[in-house]
Amino acid sequence: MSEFGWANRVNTVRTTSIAPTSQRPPTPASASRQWSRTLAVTAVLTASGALIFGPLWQVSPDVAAGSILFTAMFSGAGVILWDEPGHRRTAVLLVLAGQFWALGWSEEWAIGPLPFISGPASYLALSLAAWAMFRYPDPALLSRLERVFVRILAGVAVGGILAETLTARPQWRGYQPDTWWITLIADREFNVAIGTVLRPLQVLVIGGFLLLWVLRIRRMRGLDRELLAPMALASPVIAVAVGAVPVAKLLGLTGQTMDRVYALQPAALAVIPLAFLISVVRRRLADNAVLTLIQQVQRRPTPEAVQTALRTALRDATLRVRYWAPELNAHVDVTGAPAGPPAEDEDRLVMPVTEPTGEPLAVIDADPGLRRHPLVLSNALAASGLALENAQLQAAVLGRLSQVRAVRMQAVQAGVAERRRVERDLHDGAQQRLLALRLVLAASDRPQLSEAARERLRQMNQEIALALNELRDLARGIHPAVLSQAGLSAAIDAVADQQPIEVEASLPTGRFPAATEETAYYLICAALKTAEAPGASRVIIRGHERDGVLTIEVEQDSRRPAGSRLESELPGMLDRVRALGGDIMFSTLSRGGSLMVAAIPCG
Amino acid sequence: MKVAMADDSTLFRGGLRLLLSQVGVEVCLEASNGEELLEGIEQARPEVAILDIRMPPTFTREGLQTAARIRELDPGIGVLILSTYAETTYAAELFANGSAGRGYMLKDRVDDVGTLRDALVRLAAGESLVDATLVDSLIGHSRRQDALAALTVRERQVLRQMAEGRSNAGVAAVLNLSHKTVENYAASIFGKLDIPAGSDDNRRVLAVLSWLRAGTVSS
Repeated sequence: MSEFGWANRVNTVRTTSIAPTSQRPPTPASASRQWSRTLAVTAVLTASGALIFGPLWQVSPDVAAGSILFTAMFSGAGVILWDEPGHRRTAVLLVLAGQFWALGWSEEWAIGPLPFISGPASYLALSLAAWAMFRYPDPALLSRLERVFVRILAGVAVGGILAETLTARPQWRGYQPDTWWITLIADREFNVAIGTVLRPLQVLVIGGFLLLWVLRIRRMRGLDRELLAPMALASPVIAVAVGAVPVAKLLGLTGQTMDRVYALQPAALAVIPLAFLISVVRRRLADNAVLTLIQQVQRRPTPEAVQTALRTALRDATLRVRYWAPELNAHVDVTGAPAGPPAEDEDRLVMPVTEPTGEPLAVIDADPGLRRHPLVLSNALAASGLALENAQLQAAVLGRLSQVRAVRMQAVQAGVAERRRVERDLHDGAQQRLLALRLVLAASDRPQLSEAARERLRQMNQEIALALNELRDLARGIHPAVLSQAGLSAAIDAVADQQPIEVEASLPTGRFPAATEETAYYLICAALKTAEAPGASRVIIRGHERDGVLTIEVEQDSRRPAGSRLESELPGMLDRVRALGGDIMFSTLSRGGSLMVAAIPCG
Repeated sequence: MKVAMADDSTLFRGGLRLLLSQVGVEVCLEASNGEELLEGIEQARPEVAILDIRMPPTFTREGLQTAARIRELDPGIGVLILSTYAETTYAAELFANGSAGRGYMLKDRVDDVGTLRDALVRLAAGESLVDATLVDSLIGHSRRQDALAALTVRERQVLRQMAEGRSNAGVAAVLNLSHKTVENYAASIFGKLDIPAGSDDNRRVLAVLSWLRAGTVSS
């Protein structure tokens, strides 16, 4: 039983254990408490932003309204993300982006260092928002290019504005000359030159951002792709919104028009927290989908249904459930066929599932990307526990059955091989000797011999001829040589030649495995014999091979007697065909006559 | 007359050689398989090669394969296939590329030295040959008994001889008829049985055999 031998190696496969957690769905009371907290914290953070704006509310209510939307949305998204496992740092980034954005408009206070820090604060807010976007849903997903890009983005955004600010005097920016400011180099031309270099650089970085998101979404699969889709869709809006300011400055817009840009920009950038919120909702819906699917499968937990439910729930069509079949001491797939572990060089997430008693139940292997969604995974595994247990029992039985089938098939194949060998031995051994003996006897029959001696020689020759005929009939009964020599089509043609009724046979001329050919041959012979009994005048035999199954149809123009049983008509044939994993069906044709269809697997 | 023979049984070859020597046929080449026979055949130059259909290495249809190779080497060498099976499939395969000098005989019948010698002479002369037992079985089992019943007794005799591979001259000699009479009978038979009147002797055996076998005439 070497094909099951790999079972002993199962423990050497790298496994990632994800224990099914007994996470309970939130009760209504705790859910509403959670929502109140979320709202309260968001309100506090938004109020903090609104306070920081201060005089902006009077100077430019439009800009203030746009920006408060920005801060409110980022704060809300951050607070909600805080409750998602594994996203706390990203949540902090979003909240900070909202607060720094507010700080960016604190210049209107015109006190202390506020005018000095407001410029860098805005750009820092945008950089933090971009960094949060790339970190979601898992920082591990960041490609090297993306890591480098985020640094370049921060460098150009924050570094650029710092360079511009540190080489300026406050009055060049429209502030009072005594405003708190740090000036390293006060050179007007140099300062203008920095701005001239910086704007196109900023536009370039925005283009790079857009390109990276296109590449990123194309790279993602399954749940990751679904979670990142809202951000990918938002990225063109973000690019336009962020790009609007440097482009407007390049175009030399000022005053009211510029204010409109400043008002619309943060409002448009609110798509970032919106995308985060959609992703969070999607993730939670995915959890629910898992539960729903698993609940559905509980009703009819077949090995295949459980696997399909897990594939659908986890959005991974490559997921495999290999059930433990204790009797075989091996794992089997959903059909009960022995199933080995994934190849050593294949990166798969391998999750052994055990019964509460510690008995092995199944091993699930899935796309390694699912490692990033431990919650969805553990929910799915926890929810499918009972269904898995039921399915495992069925799979174990299926496995036993498929093993019995395999043994039965081997027995049939061995029988065919043995009969062929016996036929060949009879033909090439005894038959050849007897034939040669006849020749020697015939050659010995000389006129010089006495008549009595010649008569005895002839009698001996006669007897040997009879023995040869008997031997040939015996050999043919054991295995028809023409079948192994010329194939099914030729062998059936030879049989058809000998029939008293009209036989029209069109069978594939190609060769099939010996067991398939022999089974088809004897089945057709048996069917022809049954056709004689009810007085058929014509038999049509058709055959074709598709997907490794040889289908044989025998149609005859007489009806089968009512109530006749397959087994009595074709003794032993049903067993033989089934032993090869095939089946036979009989039907009565409305135009008269009957049809037998047999499917015989090829090997 | 010189013949070559290939059969994996030494005993059988010995018996056949003994038998043939009695009727003045010399065995110029003996081989235990087809390959061995092909190696020596050009030098031995036999008129006819006697081949067992089942020979090493696979014991299936090496005889037929060897026959095809002999045709490539020298179409003038006759081939007599010996088979223990009365299967028309093999005969049809042997005649598929022309039946001149090709014969199919049951191994059981080779002890009849007169028939064997007659067969070798016919094959050496480029005629074809189908074992009479096989033709009997074909005619007896043919599902076209109605059509056969429409033939006269003489016509049936001629049909049998044609199925055995005889040319018009051969049929005339066996049935003691004039050449012209045989031609008339042949035309009449082809008309009644609706066999395309191929005057080419080389194709005639196959046409008649096919008609008897399947009821449909292969073109």
